[in-house]
Amino acid sequence: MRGKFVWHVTFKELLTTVRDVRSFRSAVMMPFILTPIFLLGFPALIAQTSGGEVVRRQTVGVTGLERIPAGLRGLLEAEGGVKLQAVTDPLIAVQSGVVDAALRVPANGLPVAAGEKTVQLEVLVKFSDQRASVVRDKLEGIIGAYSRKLVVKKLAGLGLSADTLEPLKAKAVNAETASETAGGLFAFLIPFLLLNAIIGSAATVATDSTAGEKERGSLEILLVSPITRLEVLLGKLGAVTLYALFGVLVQISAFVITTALSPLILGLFGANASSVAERLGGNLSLGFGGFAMLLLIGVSVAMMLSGLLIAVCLYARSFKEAQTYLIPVQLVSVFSSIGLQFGDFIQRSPALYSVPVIGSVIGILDLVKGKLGLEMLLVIVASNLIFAVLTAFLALRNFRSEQVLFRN
Amino acid sequence: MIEVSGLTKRFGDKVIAVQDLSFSAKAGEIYGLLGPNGAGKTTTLRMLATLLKPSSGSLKVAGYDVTTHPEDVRRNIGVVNGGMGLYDRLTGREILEYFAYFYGIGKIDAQKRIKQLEGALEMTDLLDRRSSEYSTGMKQKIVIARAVLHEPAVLILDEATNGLDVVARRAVLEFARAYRSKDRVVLFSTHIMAEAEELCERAAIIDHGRLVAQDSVANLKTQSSANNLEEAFFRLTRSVN
Ligand SMILES: Nc1ncnc2c1ncn2[C@@H]1O[C@H](COP(=O)(O)OP(=O)(O)OP(=O)(O)O)[C@@H](O)[C@H]1O
Ligand SMILES: [Mg+2]
Repeated sequence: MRGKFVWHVTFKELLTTVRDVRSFRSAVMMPFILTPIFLLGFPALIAQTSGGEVVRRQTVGVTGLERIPAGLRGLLEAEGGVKLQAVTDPLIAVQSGVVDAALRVPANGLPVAAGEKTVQLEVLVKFSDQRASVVRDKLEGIIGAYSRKLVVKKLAGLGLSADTLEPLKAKAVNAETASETAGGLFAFLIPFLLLNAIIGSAATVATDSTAGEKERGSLEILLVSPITRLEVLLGKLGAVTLYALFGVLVQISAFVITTALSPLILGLFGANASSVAERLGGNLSLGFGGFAMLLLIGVSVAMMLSGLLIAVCLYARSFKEAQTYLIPVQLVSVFSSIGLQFGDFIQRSPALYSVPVIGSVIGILDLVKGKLGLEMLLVIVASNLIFAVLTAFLALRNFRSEQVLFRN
Repeated sequence: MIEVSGLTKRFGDKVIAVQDLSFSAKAGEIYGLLGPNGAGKTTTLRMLATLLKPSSGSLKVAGYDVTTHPEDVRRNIGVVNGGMGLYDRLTGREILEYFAYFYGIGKIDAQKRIKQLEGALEMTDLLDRRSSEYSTGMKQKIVIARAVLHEPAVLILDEATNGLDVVARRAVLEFARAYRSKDRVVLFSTHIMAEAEELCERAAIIDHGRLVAQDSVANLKTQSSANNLEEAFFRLTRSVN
């Protein structure tokens, strides 16, 4: 094996990649556009719309409107700010969307004082509709408040204070570390964006240097040169890995800049939304050591995926074909990142950290939240390197197979 | 220079692309490998060029066995086929330099050689433009220049004039003729008989992967009492079917 031949191939692949100005420019710019949108824009937008739903005046259908006690009606209209509307069939009214929710008042009316049997008031809403949960919370809250009011009145009559009801009360205090808070609910997007950057840039070089070479008809010229298949493969692997690494660095810069500019960007959304977004949004606040760890995981993932992408793309006869082959790889990355929303429920173990891709994604999430220990980092990196060797062997096998290269 | 004996190539269980093929080409000649579409020409040449492994039989190129010494073989051959393409985002010069490196040709020698080839192939002043701007003819000239950078003893041309206009086609044929010398051989594969007749002294005709005839072009014609090679080719391949 001649290192200078390997590097010669790597250099040429990188040169042709960078010279594709349009794709290079988008590789550099996309992270700087997508990162603030995902990490700040989405949370702010969600905060803004859910805030809007809270203040919106919802319409609530009522069967037996005349049977609602004045006290409850006052609370609903004044404090809840909902519009009450008489309906005959509350179920149909909700299902058809005429009203946001409905109340079914029982035939013998609602209590005006405590001390009798508990009466049930049905609140009809669509459970899976996220907007409906706002009006549901509102209605349940008001009904509860009305009920408490009756109890308090009853207690007062007996000479007891309202505190009698609740001698003990729980109070939740946020015990997150600073980096967990910074990580926020959207922190799962950080590994997603990073993985996306790795796959995106690796795929650019991998498709071009395999299926692209076949499609252009340059592969045969290369293979009849006095260079071994191993040298060609290592050269291409090197180029794919280095470019993926470049993608990692660009993405990390985008995180840093997004975090630095976040007050400015959130300022665009108004105070309420921006405070929610700040809580939800993933901010990357890592020290030098944290960045070094992130880079290590990124490099090892890039090496593992480079071999895999080359092995897969070698089967393709054209760019288009190669791109279809890559869809499953991309889907795995998307779904494993989405699954991470529930990352807190997943039991951590060395075995989990050594699962390719998923282990790294969880590791990055933990790192962002300041929870990744050095031993587990080593497990992740070692496992990735082992898989990198395996995928490189797979790629070499394909590269030596005439069925793969000269498929008819 | 080229010795093919008992060469067979199977793809899977069903396809036998080349079957028990034997022929030999000597230094100093332009040797034709002729056959209709699907005859097995490209498959044979790919085995010669170490790209495909023979299923059985032996193949020697420039004194080296193709299976046991593939890299020595590659150092001694140049390959051009009609479907070859270039790296769009490199200039012609960069492409030639890229490949020269693998033959251990130093920077200065490479420039000298490129200069020579620029003249021989009449590549004018296009060498420093991106190859995506080249005409089909210019592209093929780069492919040819790349194949002979290291002055190989064996030049393999597979449908090398495919898709070229009259002028470019002529340039390729002239180059092949000029390249042949007493210690070099040109293996010229085509299904265009006029080109073969113009260029080759001797030829092998193959069909369905098997050798139909191997002789001098003159003998092939008299043997089948034909006026030209196309007629001879037609009669010889039809008599087998
Ligand atoms: N990789 C492959 N897998 C299966 N069959 C193949 C493969 N390559 C070639 N063949 C088959 O082998 C036979 C010979 O093909 P080959 O390309 O060598 O012919 P050819 O003489 O070069 O034809 P043409 O004039 O069309 O270029 C054809 O029937 C072809 O379909
Ligand atoms: Mg062919």
